[in-house]
Amino acid sequence: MEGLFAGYEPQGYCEVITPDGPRSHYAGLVERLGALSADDMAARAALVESILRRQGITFAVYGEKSGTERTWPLDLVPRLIPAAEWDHLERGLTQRVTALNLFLEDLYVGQNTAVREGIIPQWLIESSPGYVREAIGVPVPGGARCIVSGIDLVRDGEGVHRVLEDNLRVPSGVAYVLENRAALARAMSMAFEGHRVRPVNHYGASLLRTLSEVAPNGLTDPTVVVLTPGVFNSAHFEHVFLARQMGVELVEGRDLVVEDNRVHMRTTRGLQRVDVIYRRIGDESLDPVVFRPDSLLGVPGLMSAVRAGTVTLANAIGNGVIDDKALYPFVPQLIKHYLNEDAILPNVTTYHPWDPEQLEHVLGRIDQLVVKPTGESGGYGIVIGPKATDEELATAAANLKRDPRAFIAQETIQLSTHPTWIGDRLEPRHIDLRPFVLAGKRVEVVPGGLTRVALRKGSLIVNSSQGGGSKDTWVLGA
Amino acid sequence: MLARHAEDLLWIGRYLERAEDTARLLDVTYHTTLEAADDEVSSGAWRDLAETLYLEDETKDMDRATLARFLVTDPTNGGSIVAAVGRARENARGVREWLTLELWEEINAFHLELAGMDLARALEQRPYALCELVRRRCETIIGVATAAMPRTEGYQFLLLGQLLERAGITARLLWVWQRRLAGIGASAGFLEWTKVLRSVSAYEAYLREHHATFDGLRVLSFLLASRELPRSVLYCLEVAERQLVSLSSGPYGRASLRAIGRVRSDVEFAEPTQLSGPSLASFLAELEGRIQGLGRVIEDDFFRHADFGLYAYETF
Repeated sequence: MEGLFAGYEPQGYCEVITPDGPRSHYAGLVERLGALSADDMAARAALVESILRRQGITFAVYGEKSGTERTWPLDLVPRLIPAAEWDHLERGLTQRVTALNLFLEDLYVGQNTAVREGIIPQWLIESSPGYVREAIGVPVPGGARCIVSGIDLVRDGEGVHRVLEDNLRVPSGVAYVLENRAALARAMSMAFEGHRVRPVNHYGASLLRTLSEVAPNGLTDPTVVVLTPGVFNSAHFEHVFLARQMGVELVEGRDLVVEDNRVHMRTTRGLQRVDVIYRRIGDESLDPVVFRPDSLLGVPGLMSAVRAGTVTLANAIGNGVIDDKALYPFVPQLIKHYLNEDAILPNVTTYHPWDPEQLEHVLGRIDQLVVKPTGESGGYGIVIGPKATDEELATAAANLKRDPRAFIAQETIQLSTHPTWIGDRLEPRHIDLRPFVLAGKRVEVVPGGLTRVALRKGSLIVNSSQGGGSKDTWVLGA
Repeated sequence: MLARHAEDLLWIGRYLERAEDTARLLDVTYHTTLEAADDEVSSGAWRDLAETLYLEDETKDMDRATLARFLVTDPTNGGSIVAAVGRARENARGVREWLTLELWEEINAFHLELAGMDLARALEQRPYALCELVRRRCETIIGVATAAMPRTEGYQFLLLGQLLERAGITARLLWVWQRRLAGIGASAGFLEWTKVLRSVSAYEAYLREHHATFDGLRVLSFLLASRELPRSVLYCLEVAERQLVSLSSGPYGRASLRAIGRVRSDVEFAEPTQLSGPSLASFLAELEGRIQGLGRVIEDDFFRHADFGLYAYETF
């Protein structure tokens, strides 16, 4: 290989290059990128940065100086997924979300068969912070609970795609999928040619159709809104983006008012009915009357409208029980139980330390495993055994013994790597993939998804809050 | 549209107008005082500037350089150029779905540009260039809005905010100016005429209309009630009124229409006797107060309806 790829040394499972040369679906890209000079790449990287910065495509980093905004990091080298591989992922994601939706429906308004038949212990569900008792017995329109999901996938050292975690509450990142594509199309236009990249910019239309499908009482032309916690939320950029893409109002809690068990928004011409709320705030903040009384983000009385069936919330209340990582190990069994199918996409091998036998196993191999808190997201609180100091391992072990329900342990996955533009050259970096799944009356998976990159050398943590970057993700035509 | 969004857009219009007017007034004050006859005239001009912007109390003991910095860079002065642009940008972020991408980019880029500059130094070294930059950027933003925003409620509220702020500033400027003239009496010279005209970008327009013949009533009538001048009080009120006519619907906006119609007709049909002698000061003082009151009526009318229920007043 020549040019930029000269001397490139792949690490682990490389998405692009094998000892025999580039994988066939990457051949065109490697050829075209290889022909560019480092100066040319640097200029293109600067262009991407300025496009994103000028458009205000930034994210806030919590825990840093307040108001810290970073420009969204987008790598110049896209990640490619061939048609057949995508077909496999799409079927696996559809299957998983369908089964999880059935489980939640069964749990909250059905017979709770997963517990009755001994698949999941009831106490595990009841001890989950995402389990919402107020949602028990409250039906949702069309039985649609997982209307917008983000399922995190990783590829292991053998090249097998596995599900790392499920995000069925308010997964974020889809706006970056679209913005990445728009920015890369401007900065790397010559790379697209001949690839028949499947478009993603219809997402807004698909989302609106999906939300409209699950409107209460079969309304055909419902009023849909996006509910945001406000401009200080780290994902506010995305909330604006989605409202714009759908052409609907972006509301805050203070814009909504509940009268006679119906939700209205305050407009310049008085109150107007709202039928579907794509809410980007957590369950606990939705309604101060029912949940956290100190929250100013929600709408007093919203829960009464939900109970009366006059409004659809997307996603439904109580999905967080699945985002609780303690339930994650059971998902393949749930797929079997609800669909009578084997899981198309396997989990990462996971141990639940609340079982004393498994705890013992985990403690014995803690330096080889990844320990994750069950209630956190965003990559916070994770201890990666092979990279941790003895002290960190000792702390993790003590935590596990003290509160085993609060953690899971997983086999360490050597995430696949991808050539990534770092400073002045291509270097291997670990990546994952978060595809987005829309499920109204039918299931639709956005082609590709958000590929996240661990920009720190050797790091396995891809979260943007932890120094991660992103790649445009191309699903190729058949 | 959402009442909160309408309010945010109206305030974007106000903030940008405020930033632009501050830059223009500062520029005019700088450059007219360069040629001032004595220190008395010059410090009077700086006091007038502070008063035109309703900042006479906060800036009482400031020297000129401090006052200039206060108007441009001081974040504790909510109307300073940096603060106004920052707030316009914060509001724009909250109503981005109403703005075109180009418009948002223009506002965001202006904010980032100011944030990246050493403003105190720029103000010291090349005040003209800084004032020019601010005016140009504000004009560009409004230009982009005018070129690309559909003429729906969002645009109308943005424009309304700009016009209300502009009418208010011109009325206030005239009030401060008539007081200065009353103090100087017959000796009021070319400097005073040109200064007030330049303060609202009306100098050249005045020359074409009245040639280079200046007298108090003519200048006053021009800035108050010209139908052609974009910064005259009457022009601003007329265009604002047209926005309100189209924004109103049934009971929503009725009080605003009534209020603006009354102020507009009082300006339009003011008697010469009201605009001269002892009645002038009270006419202008009252006008300035009524324009401010108009802003409050519009806010109550469109953003705080009675039927918003129990929570409306707490949360807005």
